[in-house]
Amino acid sequence: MRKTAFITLFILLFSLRVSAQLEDRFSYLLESDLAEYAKPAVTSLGVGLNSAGYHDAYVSKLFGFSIGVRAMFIFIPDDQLTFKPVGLPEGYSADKETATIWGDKGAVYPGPLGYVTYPGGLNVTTVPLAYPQASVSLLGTEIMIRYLPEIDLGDSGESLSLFGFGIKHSISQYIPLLPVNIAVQFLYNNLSVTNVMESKNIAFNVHASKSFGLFSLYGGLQYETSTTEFTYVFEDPNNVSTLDGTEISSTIDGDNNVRLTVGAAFTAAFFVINADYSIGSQSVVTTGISFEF
Amino acid sequence: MKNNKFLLNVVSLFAFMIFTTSCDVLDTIKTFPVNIPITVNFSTSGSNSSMLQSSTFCVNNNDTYQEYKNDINELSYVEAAIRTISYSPSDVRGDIVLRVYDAVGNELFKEVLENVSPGDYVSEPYVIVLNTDEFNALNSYLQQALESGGEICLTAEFSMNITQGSAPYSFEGALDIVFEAKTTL
Repeated sequence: MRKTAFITLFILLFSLRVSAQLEDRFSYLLESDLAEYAKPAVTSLGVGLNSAGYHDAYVSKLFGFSIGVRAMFIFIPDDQLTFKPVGLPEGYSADKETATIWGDKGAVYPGPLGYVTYPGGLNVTTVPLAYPQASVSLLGTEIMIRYLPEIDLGDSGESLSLFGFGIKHSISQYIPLLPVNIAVQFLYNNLSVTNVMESKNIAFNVHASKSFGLFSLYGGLQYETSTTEFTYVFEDPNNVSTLDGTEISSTIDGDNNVRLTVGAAFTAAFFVINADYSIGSQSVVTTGISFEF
Repeated sequence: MKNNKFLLNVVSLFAFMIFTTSCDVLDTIKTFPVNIPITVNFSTSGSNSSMLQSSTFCVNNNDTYQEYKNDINELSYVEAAIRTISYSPSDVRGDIVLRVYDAVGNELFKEVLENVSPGDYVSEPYVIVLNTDEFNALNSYLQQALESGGEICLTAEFSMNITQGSAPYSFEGALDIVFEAKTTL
């Protein structure tokens, strides 16, 4: 219970800080540059929310229940820490790269109207994410739910909410004497901060597992997408744009596509601990602890 | 019993990893560096072959600075450039000198451009490169002024000694300078 409270608190703190900082940084960017600046974060959201869908391909034919938390560290590759701006005014040269949302310092570009400056990033190469999830299985099909009630993010009136679900169906139940369990799964996750952003994530996977006493090995192949819509008011800190004060609404697709996952789980009584590693546009290590039967 | 102990150890390690890594990330992202671009304009004209103008500007008057002023804990120099807006006659050349002083008149840095045409810096401003002493002096002044809680003002002095071209002369230009304010949200 204390662990669940900590995880929830962490999500709240992380989201509060990131939300406030995203708004501040995005407001300095036109839509053309926002796409490249924010894309690594959109990808990370997709990687995070499309993770931890399974740690076992076995689905109970009678009744099963699981509740737990999933935590992960997403690794940001170097080529997603900087980008070359495309929104510079005429007469300016993008002769160096500037930070993406995960990068470090924002670059400055001299030109005929004075300096055009870009916002810095959050300067992180590992992004943690955690959320609670629960599932119920019946007759070879499992329904999974991820949910966080609306969390007030402060005086701005913004609130964070998370809702996700997954449907998993056992394939191996139709194939007698198969040495491994096989299942297919569909995942949908929606994370939103009111008036700032809404992230929609969809994944479809095929996964398999094999038990060896208390331990089991699992792996899968997943196709996934991630799209985030941002809404903000552009504030030109350089006084060179005629679009200062314009409200911008931009939809950005992440680089999410296909991922390969391998992992292991350990079962003791009603508790299961699992850890896996996924290779995709951003790699991610996922761990989880569940109470299940 | 043995299994339960193993489980407890793994869970503890798991919780510790999440806690330490998450706290590191939170510490990192609560610092938000903000670029503050400031432009100081110069305009001078006349028949004298030696032109001089100075202008005082205060970083704390900038709108972006004002927005974050209560959260700024570090202020530093990023980059500066000299830019020409207009000039005459078209064939004018000369020695351009830019000096920047702190609020009590100590010179922080100086840039000398010998026998140049102002026209060279209309579309491509001249980017000033500070040496280590100048860089340290400027940053030291900015940080001290920030910590004192008073105004953070600098005086830019622009001079041009004409070596080619016929009077009357006119020059309109700017010093563009960018500071970085590290804020804690």
